[in-house]
Amino acid sequence: MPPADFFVFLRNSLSRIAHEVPDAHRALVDAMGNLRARLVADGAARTIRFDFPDWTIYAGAGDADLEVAFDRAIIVDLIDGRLTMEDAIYQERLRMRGSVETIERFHGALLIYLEGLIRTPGAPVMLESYRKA
Amino acid sequence: MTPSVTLKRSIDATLFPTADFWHMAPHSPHTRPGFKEWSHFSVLGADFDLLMNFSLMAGGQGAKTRMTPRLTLLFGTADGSWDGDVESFSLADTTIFEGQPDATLGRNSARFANCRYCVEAAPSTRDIFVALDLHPMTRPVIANNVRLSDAESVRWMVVPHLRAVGEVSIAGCRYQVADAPAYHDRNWGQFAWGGAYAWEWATILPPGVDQPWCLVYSRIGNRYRGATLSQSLILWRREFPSRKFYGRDLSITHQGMLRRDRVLRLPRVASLLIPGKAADVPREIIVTAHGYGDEVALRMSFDDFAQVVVPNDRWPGFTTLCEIKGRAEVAGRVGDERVAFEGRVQAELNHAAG
Repeated sequence: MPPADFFVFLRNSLSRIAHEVPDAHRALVDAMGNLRARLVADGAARTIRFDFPDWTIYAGAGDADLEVAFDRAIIVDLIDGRLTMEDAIYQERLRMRGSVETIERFHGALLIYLEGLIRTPGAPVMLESYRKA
Repeated sequence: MTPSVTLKRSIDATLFPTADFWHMAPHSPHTRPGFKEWSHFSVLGADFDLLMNFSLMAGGQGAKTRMTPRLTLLFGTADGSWDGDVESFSLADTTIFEGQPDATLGRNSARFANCRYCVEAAPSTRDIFVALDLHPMTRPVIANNVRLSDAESVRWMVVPHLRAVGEVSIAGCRYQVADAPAYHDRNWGQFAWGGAYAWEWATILPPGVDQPWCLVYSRIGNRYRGATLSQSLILWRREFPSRKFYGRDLSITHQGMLRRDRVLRLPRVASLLIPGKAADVPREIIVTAHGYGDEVALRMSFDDFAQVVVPNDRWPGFTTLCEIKGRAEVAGRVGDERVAFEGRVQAELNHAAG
C-alpha cells in the first residue's frame, strides 16, 4: 500500500475526533497552537497544522517547526501496545527533530490526540483498517 | 453442550429472565447520557481465567445521547500471558431489547435459555473463540441501591456461582471446559466513570460443585480511597444467600504490591497514555468478618492482572479497571455450619488513573 495511507488515517481520525469528541479536539487545537509538524511516514512527508476551522495537511516542508519520522511497523507496534513511546524514541525507531520546546509541545498534543482517539467510537475500526491496509 | 449430572441444582428457571434483563436498549427513547449497563461473565478455570463483559453505555451531552455497545474480553493463562480486546459495535450490529436477558453484539452473544446462559464470543481483532454454557448453581439476587457516592448509585443483579461447560480456543490452543466455576452479574445505573468513587470487588468460588459455599467481597470508597462508603462479604450456601457481613463486621488489610514485568492494557493503544507497569494492586487482601457468633476469614492471594482502561465521562482522564486473578482460602463458621475451602478468586479494582 502507498505510505500516504497514514495521512488518510490521520485526516479521518482528526475529523472523527472533531465531530465526536469536541472537548478533545478543542484541547488538541489549543496544544498545537500554530505548531507546524512535518511527519515522515514510510518516507512520505507531509506537514500538518491547524488552520481554523480545520486541519491542513500539505506536502511543503520548509516552514515546519519539527520533524517526526516513523514507519507503519512502529505505528502498529505502538497501537498494539508492543512498543512504548519511550522505547520507540530511545531505540530511534521514532525520530523527532526540533527544539526541546516544540518536541515537548508536540508530545503533549500527541497524548491529547491519542486520548481523543480512544474516546472516538469509530476508532477501533479505523485502527484496524490502518493495521490491515 | 450437555451438562453432566453434577451440574444440576433444582432452581426455578423463570427466576432468571425476571431478575436478569436489560434496562436499556440501543434505541430507548428515555435514556439519558451517563446511563450504563453491563452483563458480565467470569470463568475461573483450572488453567485459565476468562472475563466477558457485554455493555451498553449512553454517552453524549444534553439531549443528544449516543449509545455505544461494547464487548470486553480478557483471557489469562496460568503462565501469565493475557489476550483480549475491547470491541465497539454499531447499533445496526446490536440486538438488545429492554426487559429481555439476551444480547447480540456482532458475532458475540449472551442468551438465557433452558436454565442456562449460552455465551459465544469471537472478537474480530483477535484469534479467540468462546462457546460456553453456564449453569446457575445459585438463585439470582438483586441489590437495588448500591451507593457509589452522595450522588451516584448502581443496581446489581448477581448469580455468584455457575458451572461452565464448553470450549475456549485462543491462538490455536483449545481449552475444553468440563466443569469450571463461573460468576455472572449485571450492573446498571446513572453514574460517571471518573466519579467520586472507587471500588474493590471479588468473587471467590470453590473448585468443585460439591462445595456448597461461595462468596462475594466488595468495598466502595471515595475516589482517593481515603474513606470507605460501604464494605461487605456475602456468603451463599448452595442456592441461597446465607450470611452478609457488613460495615464494621469487616476488617480488611492489603498486603504487598503485585508487580508484573509487563501489563496488558485494553484497549492496547491506552498503553501509550498510561505507560509503565505501576499499578496499585496488592499482593493479598485479607478479610476477617465477625458478627453474632459467626466468623469468616478470607485470604485472597493475587497472581496476575491486566487492565481495562475506560475514558472518564468528563474530559479528560481515565479510569483503570484492574482485573486480577488469584487463589483464595476461606475458613470460618456461619451458624452451625463450618465454612472451609481453597478456591479461586477474580477481583476487580476500580481506581482513577488520571
